[in-house]
Amino acid sequence: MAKPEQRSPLGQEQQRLSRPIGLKRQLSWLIALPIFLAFLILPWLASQYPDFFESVQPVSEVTAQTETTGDQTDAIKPPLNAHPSLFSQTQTERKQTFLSLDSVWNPGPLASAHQAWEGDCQACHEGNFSRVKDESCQSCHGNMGLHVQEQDLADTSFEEPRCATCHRDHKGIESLAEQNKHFVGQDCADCHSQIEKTAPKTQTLAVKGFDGDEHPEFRLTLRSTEDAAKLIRVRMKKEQVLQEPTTLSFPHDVHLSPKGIEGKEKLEFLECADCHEAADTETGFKNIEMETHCQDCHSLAFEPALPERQVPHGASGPVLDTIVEFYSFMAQNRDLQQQVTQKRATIAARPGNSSKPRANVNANPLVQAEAAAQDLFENRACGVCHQISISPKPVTSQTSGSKLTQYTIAEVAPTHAWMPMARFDHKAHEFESCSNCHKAETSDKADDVLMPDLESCQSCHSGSNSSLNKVESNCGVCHGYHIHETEASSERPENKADTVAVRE
Amino acid sequence: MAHDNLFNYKNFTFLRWATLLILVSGAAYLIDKPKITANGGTWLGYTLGTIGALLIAWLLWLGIRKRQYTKDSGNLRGWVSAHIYLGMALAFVGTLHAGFQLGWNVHSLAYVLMMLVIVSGLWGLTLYVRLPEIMSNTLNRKSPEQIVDQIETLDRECVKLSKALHDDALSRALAASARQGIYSLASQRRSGRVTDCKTDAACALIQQKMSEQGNLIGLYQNQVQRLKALKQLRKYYSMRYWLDMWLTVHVPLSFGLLAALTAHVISVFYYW
Repeated sequence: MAKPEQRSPLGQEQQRLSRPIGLKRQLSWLIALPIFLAFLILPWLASQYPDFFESVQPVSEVTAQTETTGDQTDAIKPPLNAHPSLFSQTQTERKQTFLSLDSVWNPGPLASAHQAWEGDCQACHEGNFSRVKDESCQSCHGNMGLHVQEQDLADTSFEEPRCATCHRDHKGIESLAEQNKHFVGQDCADCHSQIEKTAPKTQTLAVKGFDGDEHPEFRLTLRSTEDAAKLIRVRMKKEQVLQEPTTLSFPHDVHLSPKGIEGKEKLEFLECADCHEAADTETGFKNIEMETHCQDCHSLAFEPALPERQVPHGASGPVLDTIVEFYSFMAQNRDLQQQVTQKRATIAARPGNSSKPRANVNANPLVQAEAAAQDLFENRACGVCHQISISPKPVTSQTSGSKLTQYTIAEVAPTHAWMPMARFDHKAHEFESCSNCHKAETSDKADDVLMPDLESCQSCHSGSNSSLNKVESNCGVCHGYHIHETEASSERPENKADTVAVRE
Repeated sequence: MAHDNLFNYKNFTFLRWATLLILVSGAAYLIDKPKITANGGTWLGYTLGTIGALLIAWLLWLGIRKRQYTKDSGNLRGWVSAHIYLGMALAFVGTLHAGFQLGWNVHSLAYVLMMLVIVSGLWGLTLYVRLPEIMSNTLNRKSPEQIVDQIETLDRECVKLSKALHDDALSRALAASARQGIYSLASQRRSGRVTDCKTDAACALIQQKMSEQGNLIGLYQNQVQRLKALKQLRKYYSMRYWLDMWLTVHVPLSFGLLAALTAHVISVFYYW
């Protein structure tokens, strides 16, 4: 073959064209090196040796993203719900990675509450090939309750998992707690499907899921029949309505009768919402008030001739005072006496009137008051709903009513949630009619616990496996995981259900 | 077929492996119910990621293996066949590993580079399927050197033939034609077409003058043959350019992928 210098220009061109383009090596370096530097070396250096990088502002963990003005050394307070230990600890000064160079490693958007730390990886990640530690989470979420209280630990083989076992960030802006409502089913079933092995002494029954008999009947927190101040947990049974002492008489069936119920002037057709008004309370509803919900029909009038004169709803003392004071006033007021006498005559003349005739208006006011009080307490008003009893007369007689027979009205236990740990939003179920779940139309006692049973929920909710026309519902839809020791529960002993029931 | 080629090597053995890989990883992806979303952080995500990273390392190893002429770890054709099929399966495995998620980060950079490498590989594959046959047909069993020799012979013949000419314009055209190389500009290599070809111009001029001067037939044949030979070389080297060019894209992108993949794997565990 001829040497290049002896070749013709054409031959040289041909030789040149036969050679490969020969840019592979250079281009490879040109692409690989910047990627390596920008996406690995530089972020790593910046996170590891922040001191080498200029103009880095020292910031505390908590205010990583907030503008730090003025004195940088000011101690920054941890958030309100931070773990108590953090309040005493001296804040470690941590430097945010220069220009957030390491945020090129961010695999996806943080939950909305965490977005302030989008550019500050080391707020959670230590950067030493270790997984995110619970302490990082607890520096803000200090008050998260454990799943199993410490005193119960001896009885279980349960170990609290890492926060990140359930809470995975970088999965979109949805809150981490919201995520878990829908995705924790199998994790729960791992232990709870054979809970007797994990925790031999627990009263919880095994749960596999929510379909069919995978889930036991609900266990309710109710007042003890023996001691109304004590809360116990009682498991529901099929076809059986549990009872909780209320000291009230209230037949739901009469009030909700489809034939209507006799009102003040006409037949009334009541609906649940006429009395149960939604509110942001523990039970989800406002308390029932005599004045707003009952008194329109259940008048507290004590003198039939004057239906507008009513006693106040409340303790018996002021009621008796009102009655005595009225009849004393009438004894000195001729016009009123006349008016009452006439009206009583009209009422007595009504066909079918069976009320006991009252003493003459001129009689001793105390005698009249006694009769009115007895009628009010025992026949017409208080005793209709409340348990009443006659109590000994007071020793001192400082009030006008003290000379009358004294009545005691049994204390009405305040309402409380029957399933305080369960998540249930009445608002989310408002398209459903109340009676589809609560069998109030057939309940004749106020003591009836009208909590819907498991089957009632199962008619719309399936377990974690989707089923036709049913809402796929993982454990987290109704249950929480963290059992919080809240201030409220520690202050109110009656709120702590005494777990006396044994496993059924 | 008499011989194994890149596609049917050992009765499509690597196509079978690649299909199996796609089916198994696809089935696992469909069966797996990740807690939140499918992503690289679930057990399946880690598994697919490991398979993908090992595949990438092995596919890159072809660049080393093809230079080891003496190695007997399998036949090179077999390696290329496996490279093609498993490389295509990688697109599937990588996509499942990513859980169909993309973002502005090093992880998606690695994914995008991986897909670009695979696409450039497919491009190279289409070139390798079509061009070598066209190239060998173009040269018609000659080597480029032989064609160059042929042109040089034609040029010497042309000098002899044009001695008797007394036409300045034609002489200038023929001289220019003799200086005409394969391409006038480097960029013409891409299309293989030379629009300002002086030999083409000389042919046209001779044809135009042939009606006036009768003795130009020899020169005309000479120039037409020169043009034909040039066009052979032009077509041949244009194709050779593209055969080289796809690899000039494929290889640097592969190294970019290697860098991004390294950063991806290390960063994921550095901030676990």
